Amino acid sequence: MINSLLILLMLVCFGLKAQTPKIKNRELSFSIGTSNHNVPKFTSNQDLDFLNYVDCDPEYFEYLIVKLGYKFDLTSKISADIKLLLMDDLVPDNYDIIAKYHFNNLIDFGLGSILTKSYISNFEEYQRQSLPDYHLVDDNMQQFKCYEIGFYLTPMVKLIQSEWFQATIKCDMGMASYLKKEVTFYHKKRLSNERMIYNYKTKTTFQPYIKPGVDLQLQAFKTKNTAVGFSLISIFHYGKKSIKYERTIQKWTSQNQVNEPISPPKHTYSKLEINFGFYVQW
Amino acid sequence: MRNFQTLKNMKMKSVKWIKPSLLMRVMILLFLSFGMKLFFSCTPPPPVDIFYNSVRLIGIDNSGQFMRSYENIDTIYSNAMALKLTILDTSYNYYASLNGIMKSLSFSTAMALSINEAFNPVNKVVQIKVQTLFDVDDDIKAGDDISIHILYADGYDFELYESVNSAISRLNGTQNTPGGSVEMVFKKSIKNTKAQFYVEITLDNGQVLSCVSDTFTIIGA
Repeated sequence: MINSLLILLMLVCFGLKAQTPKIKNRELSFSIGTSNHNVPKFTSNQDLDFLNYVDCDPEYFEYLIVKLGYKFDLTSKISADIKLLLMDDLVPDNYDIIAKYHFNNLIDFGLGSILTKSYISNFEEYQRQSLPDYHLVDDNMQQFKCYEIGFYLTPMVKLIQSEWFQATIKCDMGMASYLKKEVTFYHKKRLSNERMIYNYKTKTTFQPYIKPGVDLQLQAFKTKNTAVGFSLISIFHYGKKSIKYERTIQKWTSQNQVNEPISPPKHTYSKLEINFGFYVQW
Repeated sequence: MRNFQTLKNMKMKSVKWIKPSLLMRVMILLFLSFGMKLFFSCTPPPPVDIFYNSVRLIGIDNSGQFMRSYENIDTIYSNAMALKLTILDTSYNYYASLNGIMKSLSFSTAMALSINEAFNPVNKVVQIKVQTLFDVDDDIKAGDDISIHILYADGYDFELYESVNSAISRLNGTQNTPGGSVEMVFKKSIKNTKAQFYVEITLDNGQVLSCVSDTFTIIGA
């Protein structure tokens, strides 16, 4: 079994060596895709767990993702790939930037950073359910626009790299954390003078994740210096996450307060993303 | 030389002063003076000095989600005893009515609607003392000082309650009416079917203002 795998790897390597080196060193790309998030919820919670309220439905691909990419060579061995990610609101506030080192025609090694956005909504329901004797003064729905920043290393294997078709597999391995958020709930006890405030301040906690993916490029046509083609990218994101926070409860007066660090249990987070688009190389 | 003379004559002809008539001069003077009056009238007036001389104490409903500090009630839940304490300068009303009469004798001051009058209390509050006139529970009897069980609020926000010092600062600060008010809440539960309170306010000139609330019927005692 191992021998056959080695033979297959050698064949691929020979195949790559036999090809002419790629002369194009700049690429603009546009792709549109969708993603499906899945964060299993925990039913019995003593404390507020923000990840129980992540906007996701495992049944549907709910997020639309538009990617604008620009790839260029910094040196003969190092290239950069900058991707601007737009979600449903079409605000370019997400990115995926990577610098790649080309070891040889088969393997690249990358170092990158990613910033993604997700929404956590309706978590005020926890307050309502856990404090039935208290009014929640602000009846509005609460929502966090949560940015998650990550830093990763990624080995990339260029399985096929012919002039017309390229296939690359990669596996991002990194650490990511949600950026800090804060929310305050005002409570008033029914038929009583008692007032109470719950304040939650989330902490930055980097947690590991892996993100294997496949990148396919098919050249449609080319002119003397320019090539145009289609791309298909599929990524699977997997990790264990929790949002830790500092909780402050104040009763009657601001002097009467209790601070507690809270570490909710970790949720299994998975996301499948598929993008289809086109590229121009020159 | 002749060209120069021609140019000089042309300049002399072009500068021609119009001498305004007497009526025109009066109109210009009036226009300037009213314009200046309008300009200076639009600046905020200085705070009016007020002298606290009266205290009022009413029961308010704090049993629901929001404090209803604008309604006077006489039936209160045992855990939601709340009062509104108003301290004011009643003599300002005479000044205001007289000021209106005096204004009518002259041109009324032009004033932008957004500028509110400000009132500065001259004699500052130094102490607020609250006593109960009925037994509250087994520990607090009629006549006891309950000031340490009272917290204060601003009736228009959701923030937590404040100490007596914050309430005194608020009453001593610049007011937008000729008086100030604070909402008082009682931390303890009242175990009696009736409640009544006596409030004593000491000013920095040694004057003591006091009042007694209505008798409240307590629900859920």
